[in-house]
Amino acid sequence: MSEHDDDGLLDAVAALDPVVQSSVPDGSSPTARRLLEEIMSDTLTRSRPAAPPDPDPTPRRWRRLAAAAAAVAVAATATATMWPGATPSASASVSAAIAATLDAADGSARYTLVAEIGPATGPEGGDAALELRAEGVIADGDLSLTSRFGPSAEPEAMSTEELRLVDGDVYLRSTDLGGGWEVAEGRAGPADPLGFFDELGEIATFDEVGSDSIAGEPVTVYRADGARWEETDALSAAFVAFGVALFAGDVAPGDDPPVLELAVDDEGIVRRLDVTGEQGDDRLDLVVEVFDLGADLQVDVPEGAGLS
Amino acid sequence: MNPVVSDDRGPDVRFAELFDRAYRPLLAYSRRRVDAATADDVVAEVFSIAWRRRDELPVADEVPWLYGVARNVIRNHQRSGRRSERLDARLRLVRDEPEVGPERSSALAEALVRLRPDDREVITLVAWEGLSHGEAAVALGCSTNAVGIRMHRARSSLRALLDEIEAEGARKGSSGGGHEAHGPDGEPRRTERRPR
Repeated sequence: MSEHDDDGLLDAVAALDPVVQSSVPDGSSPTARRLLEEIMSDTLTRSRPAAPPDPDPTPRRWRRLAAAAAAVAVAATATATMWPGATPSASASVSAAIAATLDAADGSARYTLVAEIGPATGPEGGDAALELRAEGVIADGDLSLTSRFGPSAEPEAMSTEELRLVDGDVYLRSTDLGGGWEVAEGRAGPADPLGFFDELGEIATFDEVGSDSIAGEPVTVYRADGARWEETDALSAAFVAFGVALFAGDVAPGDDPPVLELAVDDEGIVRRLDVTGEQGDDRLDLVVEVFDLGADLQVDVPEGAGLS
Repeated sequence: MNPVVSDDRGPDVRFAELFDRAYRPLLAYSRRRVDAATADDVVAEVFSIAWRRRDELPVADEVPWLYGVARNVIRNHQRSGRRSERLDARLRLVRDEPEVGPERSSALAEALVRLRPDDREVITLVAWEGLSHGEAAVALGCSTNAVGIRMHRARSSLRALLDEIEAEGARKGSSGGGHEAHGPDGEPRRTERRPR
């Protein structure tokens, strides 16, 4: 034992195992051999069983992934809530920046996504923060997304997953499983991560809260406090919008609304989205940076990906 | 990670080899969650399903896939109420055995019982079945990264529950009371700690 078991907790749980596996009959036991013979003599039932309802978790996983990929195109579905203290000029600046960003991208861009998940009140018991790092390529509705996830302090322990959405087909590969590319069931709609900005512009009002720099370039930071959102989980919505929707189901709305900031450069282009929130004992911080807007990008079907 | 099986063998041969390899761990998995007789039924049902779908078995992930099937079969058994003996009860037996170990083990068993079922499942898949995060992802039908997040949260919850139970024990010890493991109805108390 075990994976990232710094505090020995998993070892302690393992010690509670109520079954000693070596005492369990193996496949060569008489009972097992009888069962095998009985099962393999059943040649008449090659069709899928009526029960249990979903005995194969793998297709369910792929269905979920396909749904996640499809959700990329959907982005957030938030409800606008006006905030009386919002600065009209700031909101107008953000709206203009979002429109300019979408025009500049014209369906193609690259982005990076970094999400940190850790204890909200500092380190506890050797429990290191977790980190998700993803790189995305958007190309006319197609999407390539490579994500690495694991404890921040142990880069070698990170697992990598790759997703490609090409012409509605979703291809997935996990280095942790060591397998090749697999094709998800069903088809997904076109990817449109930057559409999340557009949704933001329509539902939120902004304040200018300061300046910063990205890669040496100055940016102006605008904040849309989550308190202005009604029944909206900006964190989940952002995860969904940028293709890492696998996590959205695990990122339920926190006790306090998330804080959402957009950074706009001197040319009026949105360069960064930063969403911070808390859920229970966890703090989540999601940062997305976009670049290469309008570049000539292409996402290809992975080599060796056979249709299932 | 299970070895990748070459595809040039027929599905029947693959199935027989898979049966030999997976019978014991699947039976152990089932016995950890239901009584021995039901565990036999579960394993038989799992392999029957696998046999009927032997042409579709995921080559590299056959055993984790079988865990996923077993999980669903056990759920069905528990839903239908047939001879269901839940993990809670199994753990209760472990906890009540005097040879289970020091006080911390007893408290940890109690914490495991109180843990949300989904959190308990991901922790025990790793701690008891020895699955990697990737294999647990196949069994649970989610992504490897999602397993990582679930593990992180499950561990945090388990640790918090353990602290809570040990604090309760210390308070009761100082007031002369014993460690109360069960509610008034004889069932283990549950505290769903993390609203979602």
